[in-house]
Amino acid sequence: MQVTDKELRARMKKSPAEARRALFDEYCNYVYAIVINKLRNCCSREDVEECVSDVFLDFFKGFDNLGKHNEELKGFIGVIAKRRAIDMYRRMCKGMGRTVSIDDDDLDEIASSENVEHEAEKTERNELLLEKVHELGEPDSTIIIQQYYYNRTTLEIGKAISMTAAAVQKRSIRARKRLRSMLTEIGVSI
Amino acid sequence: MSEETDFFDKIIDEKTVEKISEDYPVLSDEEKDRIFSLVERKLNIDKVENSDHSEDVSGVEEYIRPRWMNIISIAASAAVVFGGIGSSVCLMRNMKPGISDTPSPEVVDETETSSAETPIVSVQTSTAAGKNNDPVQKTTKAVEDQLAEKAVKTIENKPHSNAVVAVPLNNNESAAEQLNDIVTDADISESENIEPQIIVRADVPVTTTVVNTDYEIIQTTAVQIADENEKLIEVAESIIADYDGIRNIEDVNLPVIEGSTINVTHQMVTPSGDGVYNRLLEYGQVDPDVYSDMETLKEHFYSVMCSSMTETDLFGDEFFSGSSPEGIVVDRAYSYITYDGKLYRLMGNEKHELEPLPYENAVVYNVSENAFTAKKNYIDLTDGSTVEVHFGVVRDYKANKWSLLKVSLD
Repeated sequence: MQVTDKELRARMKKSPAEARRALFDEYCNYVYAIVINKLRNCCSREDVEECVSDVFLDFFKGFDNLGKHNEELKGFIGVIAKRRAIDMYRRMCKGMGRTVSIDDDDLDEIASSENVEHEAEKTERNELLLEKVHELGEPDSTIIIQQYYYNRTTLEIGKAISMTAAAVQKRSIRARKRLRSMLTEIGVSI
Repeated sequence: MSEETDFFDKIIDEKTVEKISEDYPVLSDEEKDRIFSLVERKLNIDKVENSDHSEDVSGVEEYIRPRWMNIISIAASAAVVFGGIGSSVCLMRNMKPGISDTPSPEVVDETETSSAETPIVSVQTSTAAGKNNDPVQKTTKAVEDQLAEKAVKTIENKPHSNAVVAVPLNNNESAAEQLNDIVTDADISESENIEPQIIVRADVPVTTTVVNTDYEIIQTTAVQIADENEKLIEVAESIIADYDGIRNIEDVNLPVIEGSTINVTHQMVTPSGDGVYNRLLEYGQVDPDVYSDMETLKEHFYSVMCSSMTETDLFGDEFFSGSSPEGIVVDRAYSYITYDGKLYRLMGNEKHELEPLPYENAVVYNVSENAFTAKKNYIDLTDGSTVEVHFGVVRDYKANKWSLLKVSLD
């Protein structure tokens, strides 16, 4: 379900708290995926959640000034999430004394819009990877995504899919072997 | 590199991220509630903060400045302004070129008064330093006290030598040269042997006054203002008129009683100084109706003449007839003596009888603060010639009036 600004305003008139909650439920996973994509290797779970909350805070504060276009809010929230994640990333790197090397891949991400060819290759590779993850089937695909994309522990994954941590670990190992062989068949090395 | 990074540590495009978020939602309800409560709390905090700053503030408190502050401010400002102006003027005056920082003795004023209070000699040299724009070095050497004393005495020994120096203004070096020439040649010629002499070198207008009030030498240079001159002429005419009333005292022309003459021995030292010889002086008794005694005579005389003046040759001692009149011996040829309580005057010393010329006022010159000289023409009734008589007038502080100091004939 997509929410437009017009719909959200209509809900805001009735009950602002409920409207905010509904919007949050709609896009929290999307925002979380964007934020953790950027902060996966430098921030803790709390920092990620803090950044996600800041994204929604910025959205709610700036929503009144948003123009009435009756368009989906997903793109708007996605831009906010991406920028917030970058700010958090820079702030955390500054606090950790890290500097971004010009050879770092993150720098390429910042300047990705300037390299269309490289961007296209990455997109194609990611689509293939995600497709092969899908082909693993449940619950292996969920285990791989949550373990390697969301940085969840096996205990957390097991709790989410009602399995033990050991079972999750075993299935994860098997799933990775299968995924590697599948990617090798199509000529993608990881 | 670990296997985890092999999968998703690479850059993932937005489209893939969106697909992952849709296909594999990760947040549980508990996590959603925690994050949303975090959002709500921040939102409420911001609302509170905004509401705290949303209060309107209007109007300002009016500050009433006390009036006395204005007065003090004006006074302080005026003080600063006038102080600045005054300082600037002072600096501009002091910063004029040609004025040396070291003070030079530009005014030399030496005055000596004898114990008899009569001789007053003053040598004044003044330079108008304020008008000096020439950087030539000014040198003024004052005669030391002792040397100056000698020079003054030299002047005193020349009772009838007048040295009037009237140097015109705006005459710089020539004025100093004139001053030196006149003083040296006319009055203190002997002081040429005394070193150092008075050396005055001036590059500015010089006004020099040499005054000897002892023997009629009243020398001054000053700008005579018309009013003051007229007043002095009136004073001079008054004094001259008084002097004409007592002139017969000094001229020894008082009437004597016929047949009352006596002879007095006058002992004189020979010109060589090694002996004494006598000569007889004839005195006649003054008509007692005119002057009865010496005291009356002196009183009348000093009513006109200066009280500080002592005429040692005019008034003699008192003698008595112990033996014969020839036994009376005097050391000077006194004009008047007292014999047996009667006033006698020296016979055979009468002067020419003078009569002032009518319709002719006295001329005042050599005016200084305390003295001036007046001259008036008289006619000698003996031969009809015109005689110019000079009257030295000084301010007699004892009598608090102008008095006649000396009378001399030209």
